[in-house]
Parts: sequence; C-alpha cells; structure tokens
Amino acid sequence: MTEDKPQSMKDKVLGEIRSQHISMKPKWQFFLKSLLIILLLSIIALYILFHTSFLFYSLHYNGSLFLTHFGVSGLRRLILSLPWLWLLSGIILTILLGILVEKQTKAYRFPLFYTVMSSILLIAIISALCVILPIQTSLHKLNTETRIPIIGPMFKNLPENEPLKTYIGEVSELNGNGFLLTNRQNQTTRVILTPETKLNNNLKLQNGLEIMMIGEQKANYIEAEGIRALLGGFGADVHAEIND
Amino acid sequence: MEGNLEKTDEQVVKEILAGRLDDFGILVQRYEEKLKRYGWRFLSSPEGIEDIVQEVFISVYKNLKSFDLDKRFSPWIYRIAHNAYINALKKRSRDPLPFFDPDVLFPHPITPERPDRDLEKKEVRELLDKSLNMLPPKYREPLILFYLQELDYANIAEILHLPISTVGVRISRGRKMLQKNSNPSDYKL
Repeated sequence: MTEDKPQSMKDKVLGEIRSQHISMKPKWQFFLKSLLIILLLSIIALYILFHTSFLFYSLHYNGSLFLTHFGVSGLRRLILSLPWLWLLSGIILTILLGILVEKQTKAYRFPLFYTVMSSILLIAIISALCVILPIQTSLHKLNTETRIPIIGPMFKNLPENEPLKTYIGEVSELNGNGFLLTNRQNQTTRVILTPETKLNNNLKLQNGLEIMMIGEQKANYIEAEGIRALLGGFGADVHAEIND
Repeated sequence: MEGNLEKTDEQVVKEILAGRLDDFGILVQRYEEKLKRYGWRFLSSPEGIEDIVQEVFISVYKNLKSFDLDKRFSPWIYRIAHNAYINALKKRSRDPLPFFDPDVLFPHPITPERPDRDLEKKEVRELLDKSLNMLPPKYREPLILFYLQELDYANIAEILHLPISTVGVRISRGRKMLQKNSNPSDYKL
C-alpha cells in the first residue's frame, strides 16, 4: 500500500497551468484598462477645468473681480456675491480627482496633500488661462449664435449672477451731481455722486465710458459708493464682444 | 530547469512569457516560503495561508503580461500578495479597515534607514515574535517587510503604495510601540 504524498504548491500551480484551468490575460486587456482609466481621469479633469474656468469667467463677466478695487467694502461684496455652491463643488471634485490620481498612478509616492494641492493649483492656472485667452468668451459668443448643448443654458443665465449692489454699464449723459447709466439691457438709471464716492484712479467721467459701480439703490436713483472704468481693464471688451 | 535557478526573477519571467510555462515553478519555489511567512505574520494566523498564497501565484500567472520587464519582480509579487492579505484581513476582521489614513495626507520628514544596526534588528525581530499581534495592521505590515522580509524602504513604499517618508514614520512608530508594549518600564523614546 502506497501512501499519497501531499502535492507541493509548485506542482499544484503547474498542474493548473498545464491543464489550462488558468491562462494569462492578453496584453490588450491591461492596455485597455489603462486607457479607460486615463480616459476617465481626463474626462473628470476636463469637466473640472470647464467648471472652474466658467466660475472665473462668470466673476469676470459680471464684474465681481473688479470689486477688489473698491477696498474693504468691495471685498465684502465680492465674498457675498461668490457662487459658493459652484466653488465648493469645484473644490470637492478636484480633491476627488487628486485621490483618484493618487490611487491609479505612481502619485502615491508623494503625500496626498501635495497631489491635491498641485491639482487645485494646476486647475486654477489653466482655468484662469481659459478666461484670459479667451476660450470662455469664444464659447459664450458661439452660444449666442448656436445653442451649445449642455453648457448653453449656463451661459444664458450668466447676466443674472451680477454681484450684490454692483452695476455695469455706460455713462450715457453727465449732469450736475451725477450721470445717467445705461446697462447691457439698455435700461437707464440715474446715478448720484456724493463727496464719499470713490473714483478709482482719479477717474474722469465722460459720455460713452464703460464703468463698473458699487452703490446703494434708492427710490429712483443709485447713490454711487465707488466707480471704476472698465475700458482697458482685464477683459473689458468682453461685453462688447458678446453683444456684437 | 536547474540552470534557471541562477537566473534573475526578471529573466525567468521573460522566459515564461516566451513560452516556457514550466519555469513558473521556479518563481513558486523562490517565493512560496517568503510569502507564507509574510502572510502568517500579517494575518496573525497560519489558517488558510496555503490557499491564499496559492491564489497569489495564480493571480501572478494570470497577470504576468502586465509586468514591466524593466522593473524588479519582487515588489510586484509582494504587491499582489499585499492585496490578497488585505482582502483576507477584511474578511476576518470584525473592525473594518480604515478607508482613509491621515498618515498619507501630509509630508513627513524622511526617517533614515539604519541597516547597519544588526543588534537593534535582532532585538526588534525578537519583539516582533512576541508582540506583533498587538500592533494595528498599518504598523505591522511595514515592520514585517523591513525586519523579517528584509526589504528596503523604497521597495516597501512600492508594495504598500505609500510615500517613502510614510513608510519610515510607520516603521519608527511601530518599533516604538513594540518596545513600549514589551517592557513599559524600560521604555525610552
């Protein structure tokens, strides 16, 4: 009677291989998996890029970025007028992207903090470039001619995002203690200047000048607190270009 | 096949991929005991380890075409074993393993490796024998890989998918925990 010798692990594994119970996965499967991961990460990154650059563009378009020129009062208005939900969702998506990159690539070699901060910085820089270049302006203009699917309605709703008590328009008529301001919708409002009104860079008001103004809406006029010219400023011609 | 014993792991893999499938036995011979020791220590029990290690080899064989021949084979097979042991630990443990570890969030100063201090290594190995089970898995695993499997920080970082500085921090903290647990009165930082 012979005693069965227990099979070694080597024999068991080789037995599985020889009997073709197990086989090597083809190389294309790994290639496809890597490709899908890269594609997924790229789609998420592109969406975040659009999301963030649209945020910058909306701030630029409705003049919020200029509020920083009006001191503490302007800064307060800027903070109040920021689209916080949009901003927070952008940050959360970027953190998620950082975690995904860390899990799927060799980025685990660096602390997660570095990966996430680099993602946020990179996305902020590219998004700002999209506004400066101006990719978002071109998209906005294109959307006025042909409705772009999915992102079209976002551009359509842009003018409604104007910051609190902030007014953008053209000086249409100067008068004794103020001027008439005509906005993008061609509506005219009377503006009163007071000794407290801050004129940015010793601004000289004149007819046809495009301005951004902060102020208090009274019964039938606006009491101006600060005025800044839009001409020559950061993307000052955006409105003209879009409304052409 | 005997002549193949002098070949590097990477050369053996190259030959398997070229069609010499029986050469896979060389890899099984070379890593079977190492992976079993790693698994026993990490899972704190030899129960089922034979099956898990066999599954590791089967997984290695199935995924062999994804191995980059320009890299070292050892961290690659340990990475597959690490994943298998983590899965086994999840099944066995009553407490779920944490999804997120704050250790990997912020940068740490790199704790230097001290390969020359053989006496200290011997002491830590003895401590590991006595009280490894008292350590949480996140400290247990790098200590096993460093002191028992004798891998360096770079390889451990590659296996565990952690920054090298985090590996250093975990080994250093784990060692201190071991010393504290084994002899609290003599414990000095």
